[in-house]
Amino acid sequence: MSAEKSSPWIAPSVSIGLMVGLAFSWWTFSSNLLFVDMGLHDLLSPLDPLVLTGVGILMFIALLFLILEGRWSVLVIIAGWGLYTPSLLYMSGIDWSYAFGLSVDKYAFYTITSPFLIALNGVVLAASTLLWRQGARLERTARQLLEKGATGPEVSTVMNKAWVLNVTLVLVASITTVGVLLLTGAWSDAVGEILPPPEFQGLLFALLAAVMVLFSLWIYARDPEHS
Amino acid sequence: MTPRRKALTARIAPIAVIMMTGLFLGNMALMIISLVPWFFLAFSIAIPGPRVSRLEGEIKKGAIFVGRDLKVERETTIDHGMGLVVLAESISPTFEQRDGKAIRVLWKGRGVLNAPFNYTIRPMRRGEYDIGNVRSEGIHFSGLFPSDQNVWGSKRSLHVEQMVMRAAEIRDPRLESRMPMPASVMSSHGAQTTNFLDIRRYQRGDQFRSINWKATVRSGDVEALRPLVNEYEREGRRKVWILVDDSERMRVGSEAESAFECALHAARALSDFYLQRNCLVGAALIHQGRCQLPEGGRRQKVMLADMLYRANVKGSSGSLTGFVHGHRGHLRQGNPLFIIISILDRGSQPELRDGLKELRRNSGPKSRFLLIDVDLKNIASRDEVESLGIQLRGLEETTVRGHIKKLGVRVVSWEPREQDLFQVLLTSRAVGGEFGS
Repeated sequence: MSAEKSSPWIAPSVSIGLMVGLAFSWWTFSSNLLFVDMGLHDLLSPLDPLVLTGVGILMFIALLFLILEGRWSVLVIIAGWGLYTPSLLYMSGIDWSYAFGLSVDKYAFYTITSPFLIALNGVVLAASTLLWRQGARLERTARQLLEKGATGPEVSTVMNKAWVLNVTLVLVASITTVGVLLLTGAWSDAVGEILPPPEFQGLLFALLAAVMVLFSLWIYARDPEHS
Repeated sequence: MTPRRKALTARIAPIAVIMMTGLFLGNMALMIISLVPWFFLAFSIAIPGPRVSRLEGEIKKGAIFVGRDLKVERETTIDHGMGLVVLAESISPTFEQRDGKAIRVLWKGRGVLNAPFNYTIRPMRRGEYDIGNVRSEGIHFSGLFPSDQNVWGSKRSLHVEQMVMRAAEIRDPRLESRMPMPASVMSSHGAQTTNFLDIRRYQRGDQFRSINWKATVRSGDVEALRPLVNEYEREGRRKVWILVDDSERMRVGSEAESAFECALHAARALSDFYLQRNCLVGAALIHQGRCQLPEGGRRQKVMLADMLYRANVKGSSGSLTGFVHGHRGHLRQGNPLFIIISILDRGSQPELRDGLKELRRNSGPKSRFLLIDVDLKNIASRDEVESLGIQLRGLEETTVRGHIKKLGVRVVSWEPREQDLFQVLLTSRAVGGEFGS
């Protein structure tokens, strides 16, 4: 994100999105076995919850301002995905550590977080990353337009409208994804139920993959050869 | 593969990789995550990018004066898609944009968008400019597809010419007489003056009124029918040389309003003024050595205007001395008024001094010299502090002016932004500046 603001709404909304994603990932990570193995649990648990909450809020605000200033947004995205990855890997149906002959044990990433919440965390991270990318693209376009001599208010008005449409579509895409998530049924199960029943798994994956392939074909088919 | 398909593939490929990884690992969460960009892509594709369907309006004028406004009025219709629309006309940086800009950014939402694309341009520098082409760019709101670009209108040339300062408004003859003029030149042809020269015998073709009857009677030669006639001096056409400094130092100021542009402006005005007063006017670009030999009449006016229109700063080669050496044969004829337009400062003083000395040696004894010093104060300064700095530097230049004046050169300082050249010439003369001879 650039320090030059083309629209007053882009930077704040991206910042909030990224911070929500990071906070969610931190929460998911705190329920992971890795959190305990790394000694973070022992380090933080003796502290007063009030102090922890205060420090957390302060860090949240500080990071929010840093992102607003156009800095650290990439680091926040990496941190968010980094904290989320162990729990995501634990969700795999196959034992990848065994399959690839890795020394890392899949069960070292054991988590007590519900699969639904882990998937929801992924949706939030994906949405915030998408927002960040779209915001950066619009900022870049705005900067180019201003360099070409377009007036600030005109560019700002147009960017606001483009941003509103982008945010709306990201939200609609996220809500639709959550809808699909809920439709799978198994995800609404209690803690510990990681995968849908075996008879559904293959069918569900195949269905999703088929939908995506058909969708890709549809995209190419409906797009005429415009140059 | 078209750019659109390339862009689509670039978007779909990473999503497909995530999905395949999820499928391979049997990781439903990863597959679910890949759905977010997938759905975003699907919804984005459902909304096509904007496309301009009409852009009307032409610039009809083919020529314009520097400093004059040219209003451009266009109307556009966008009836397709949603997103950003950029309309831009490539305008030279030497054009000042007023009342709008030559670039417009619009948002095309739902429904048909009709929008004006109006602005006013004011050329600040002479030259030939290409105008008339408007580029439209429809940018998809999500940046999914490459922008839809089009070019509208027909490219045409706009001829921008310097507006000539008119001295014709000097109605007062007393003021007119204060303008620097070349010394009178006697000739065997030309119009008769009232200065008595001699008495001689009547020749065929002499006017009847020029017979001096008293002198004829006194000569006692009446019976031989050979009357005596009065002979008066005949006036030759006066000559003016306008020498423009085209060295690198004349670039000072903005591209649109440099010292060189001001010098050309002055040269054009002065050449017109002297041509109107029946002088033979020649002009030269000192460093390029290009010159138009002194002539009179309308044709010369056009030739001089053309030469000054095409003039450009040359660079560091050449000098006034070199120019004089190269053209001494022409410069020697008559007693011209030499008008040198340059910047007088410590840097230029040695070259000007040597050149003026050489010019004096190679011109007639009654030649007159006028140096118009294009004052940088308002051209080169961007703010008051810089202006003050230049003013302070100007105080140091007083001695420089003194050296030049000692050569019998009248030095006139002209601030192009604030002063009318003719008023400066008239006023400086009135104060007491006199030509050296």
